[in-house]
Amino acid sequence: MRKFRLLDHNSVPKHEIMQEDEIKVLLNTYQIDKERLPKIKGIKKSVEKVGKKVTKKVGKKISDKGVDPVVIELGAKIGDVIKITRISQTAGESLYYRLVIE
Amino acid sequence: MAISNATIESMTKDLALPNNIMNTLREDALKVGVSKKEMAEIIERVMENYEYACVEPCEAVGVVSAQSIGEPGTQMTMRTFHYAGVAEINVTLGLPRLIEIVDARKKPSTPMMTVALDEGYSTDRDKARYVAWEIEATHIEHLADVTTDLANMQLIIDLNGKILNQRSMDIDDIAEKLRDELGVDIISPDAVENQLIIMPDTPSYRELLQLAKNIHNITLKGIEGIKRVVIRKDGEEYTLYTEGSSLKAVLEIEGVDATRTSTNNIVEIYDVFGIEAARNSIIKEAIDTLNEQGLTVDIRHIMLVADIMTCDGQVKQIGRHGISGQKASVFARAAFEVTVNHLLDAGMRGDVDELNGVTENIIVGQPIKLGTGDVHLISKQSVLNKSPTKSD
Repeated sequence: MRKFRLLDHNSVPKHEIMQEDEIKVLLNTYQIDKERLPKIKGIKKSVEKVGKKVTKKVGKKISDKGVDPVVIELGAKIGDVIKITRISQTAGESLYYRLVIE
Repeated sequence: MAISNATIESMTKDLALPNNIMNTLREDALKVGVSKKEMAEIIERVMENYEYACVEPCEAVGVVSAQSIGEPGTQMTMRTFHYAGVAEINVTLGLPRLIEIVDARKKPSTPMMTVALDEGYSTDRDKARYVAWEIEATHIEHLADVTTDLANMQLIIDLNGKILNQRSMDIDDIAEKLRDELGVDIISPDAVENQLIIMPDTPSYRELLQLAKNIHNITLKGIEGIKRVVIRKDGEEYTLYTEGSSLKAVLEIEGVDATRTSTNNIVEIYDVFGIEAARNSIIKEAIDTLNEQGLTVDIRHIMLVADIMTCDGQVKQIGRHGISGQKASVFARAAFEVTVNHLLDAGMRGDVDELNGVTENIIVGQPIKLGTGDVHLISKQSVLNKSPTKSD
């Protein structure tokens, strides 16, 4: 099986996990809580724990379903905020933020 | 006297402008060669126009988008099955395709992939063809004549040696594949070249006919679900177009450039590349469908639709099971579809409607929170108390 980085694909924009202090600045500028950001699907917490204790196969089978492949590639955890730098036809470049949820 | 690049840079760097406008401004200023005073005026005028063009606070962008997409939609052809450039592949276009996109169907009615090829493969027609055979699902009817011999209770497969050669397959591979899939004995007689004979385990007509039917469903080579592959030369390189879509499997094939390969199945893109790629795909597919019909819709409207569809981290449809059906307000949902059920369920659960949205406020007859309706006057109690009381 060949491997390639999802982020290299033409239609996948740049994703980065944000630092805690960056998130604070972001939430302050928009005057919102974390929960009001757009979402992205992450790996379920409970499954993560199960995956470590029980055989890897079982954990992987459950956790991968419905999880955004980019989140898996970045290794983002629930509660992280991902900064997305979109290439926009109208603005050239635009920033978007997504909160990793279950 | 013209000012330098660095001066322009420092004058514009603090402006709240999107990159596109900023770059054009800088480039043009440099090209024309303006003085500092002129530049200051240009910046002032640009900012004025930019602010004028921005959406005002409390503007109903959703309604504007809906109408801007809906009106051209009335001019779209109801049923178009068009041939997408390649004179052979059949793709749904027009209104049915647009409906498919906003409905976020699991599978479009005509799935199609555009497969870009890696360097080395993309300029060589033979190599491109080789990749195409790896992708296209090959069934027995492509390679051979299958005859049912009722007298001897057997299936006779006469393989076409030329086609086998062309698709770089050989008779042993096929025999093995058939043996695995059907679970029966396969005999390759020495007397006749390129012939296989299949006999059912138990000699009964039912078994034999069943075998004759099943043998056509076996994919001997390639990826299941991909009916045809067309090779086309776009500029310098060859690109493959497929009828049927199976992104994950295609990405693993040698020679395929995974970074430029895509499909028109949005849900598949979401599964393989994630939510942001799905959003881009919604925008691209919708705008392509509209443009193909000769309609121009501003991309911002489509972007808003795509943002709403993907803001939850999964592709949601616009409709009963998506945006409209998951609204927080009971009234808003009841106003959309199946009114009585929503009201009844809400009554049984004891739901509370906060009356925050537009629809529910119209239903109860209040001003809506849009435009001027969203502006309130607030004053501090202390200021009111200080105001002169003797005036009245």
